[in-house]
Amino acid sequence: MSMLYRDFIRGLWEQLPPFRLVLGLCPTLAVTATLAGGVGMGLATTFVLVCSNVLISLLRPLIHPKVRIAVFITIIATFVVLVEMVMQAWFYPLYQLLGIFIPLIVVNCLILGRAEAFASKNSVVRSLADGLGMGLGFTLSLAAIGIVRELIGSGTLGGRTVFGATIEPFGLIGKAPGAFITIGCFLAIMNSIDRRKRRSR
Amino acid sequence: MNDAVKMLLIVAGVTTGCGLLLSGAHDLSRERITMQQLRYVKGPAVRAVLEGADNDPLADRIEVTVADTTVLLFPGKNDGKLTGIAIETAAQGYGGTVNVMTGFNPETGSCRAIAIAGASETPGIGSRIADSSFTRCFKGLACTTQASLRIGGGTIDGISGATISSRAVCGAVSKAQQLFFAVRGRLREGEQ
Repeated sequence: MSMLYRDFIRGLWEQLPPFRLVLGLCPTLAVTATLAGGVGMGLATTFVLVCSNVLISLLRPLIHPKVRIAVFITIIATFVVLVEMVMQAWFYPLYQLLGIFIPLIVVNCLILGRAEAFASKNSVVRSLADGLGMGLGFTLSLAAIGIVRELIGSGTLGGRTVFGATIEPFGLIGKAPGAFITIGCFLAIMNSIDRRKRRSR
Repeated sequence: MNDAVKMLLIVAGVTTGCGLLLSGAHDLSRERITMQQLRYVKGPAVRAVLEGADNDPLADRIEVTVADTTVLLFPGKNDGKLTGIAIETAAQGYGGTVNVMTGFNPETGSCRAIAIAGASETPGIGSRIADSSFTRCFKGLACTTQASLRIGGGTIDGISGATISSRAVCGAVSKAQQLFFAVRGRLREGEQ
């Protein structure tokens, strides 16, 4: 049980994507201008990550090492297309918001990275825990970046105006360079917390 | 050799399984996806040109074939009586295709209203084709008058600096007028 817990919790701080793994930065930069975009992308990625982790771990004894990348990508692409269909059928406004970045989940290195580094070497249950942890971590990270960027960049949160007309929004934060700046600030805060922890030990 | 066969089998097996799963999912979701696309992509334009209709023009859409191409008609009804027909047409603009939704009065064939259903014209210049000051020029355009710009001998005031975009809208509307004439007879038959 404690091992499963460790597999799960690893994705929430120690290897928190995208900050610690620095994988999956492209969608992070592109869709986190708003909270809704960040959460939507996070949940879609989580679904693909969990499903592909479980399936790849199940097929682990069968997958020939020489063709593993082709098999991984096929499985990941299948789940991405599934997500795209579900989103088009039931959450069309979210699909319009995320657009091209939904099919691009296929090339999110985070998912292939977890398939290669974890799911292809560990049991189904552990891969499930790893996928859930990483996915949740990714979703929370994108949500956090989304909240900061939406508040500062356009003065709204979840589409509702927060500051009103008194504060002029700082537009740069809503653009791609602003995403880099926000991620850098988050990373700095995380590193300083880690350093303090190590010193107190 | 044995190794190669194994590799082949696993890749073939996985791709077949994935293909089956996706084709099943596609069959299940196709209907809903078409409906959603209509609702969110064409819905606002259809509602704009069929103002006052109390039915759902998207759900009541009619497919007709004119000269080997399938055309979607969106009927607007009031108390079950046909009050408007919306047709979407496209023409080449300055920055790409300009999609125009044109609403017709089914009795007289005159234009009720038009709405831009999708365009990527230059912001601030060609994009003004979506402004009501331009689209209202088409309101009441008689079925016998082909939509064309004043500089081309027509009746529509073009937007200065955006002649190509304005002309694209006129082209799309006159296409819609032709389509409306082509399907008008068939609509009457459908009513009876």
